[in-house]
Amino acid sequence: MESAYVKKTMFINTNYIKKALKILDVKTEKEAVNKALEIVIEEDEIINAHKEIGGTDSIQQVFK
Amino acid sequence: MKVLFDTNIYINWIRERKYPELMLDVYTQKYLSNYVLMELWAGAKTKQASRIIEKLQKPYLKAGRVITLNTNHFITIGQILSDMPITQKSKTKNAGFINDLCIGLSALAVGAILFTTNKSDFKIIKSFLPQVKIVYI
Repeated sequence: MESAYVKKTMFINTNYIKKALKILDVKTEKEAVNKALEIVIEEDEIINAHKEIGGTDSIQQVFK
Repeated sequence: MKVLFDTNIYINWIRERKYPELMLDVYTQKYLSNYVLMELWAGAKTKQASRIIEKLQKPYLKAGRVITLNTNHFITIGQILSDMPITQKSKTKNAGFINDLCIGLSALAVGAILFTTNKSDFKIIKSFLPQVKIVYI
């Protein structure tokens, strides 16, 4: 998906932003917000894949 | 919170939808060890099973969440195998145990909590790698 950036004005919890800068190891607030959103989307894609494969009874256990 | 699932967790999910609270948790950041991926592929004996693993690996690969080990990790693994006492030496010839060692180090590499049903192997691994955070299911 092509990235499209738009300017947004919103109230954001400054404590969360400070913590996110550290946790995500990024320099700007913009990077922190975008990275956090990226992680949420990636996680959603992983969970959707899990939902699709759960209960399909198709894998054998080779290694104990 | 970063999490990593052992092969047995994925197999239980794929077969019986066990552990939905882990597999569908939106508040964790899920990682996949390439050793877990290898073990899953080893158990994919049909076309349907191959499709299932392809579906599973796709978003992890896209997100860069598949963990690979570096040279230092393999040195550590070799040292652990060398240091194992006589009573546990048979484990050094067990591919499953060596894979588990790699999975344990993968969790450590990204600072993830490892979820597994395999208490016997991971209790031994934990004694050599006390920093690894493991949750037994």
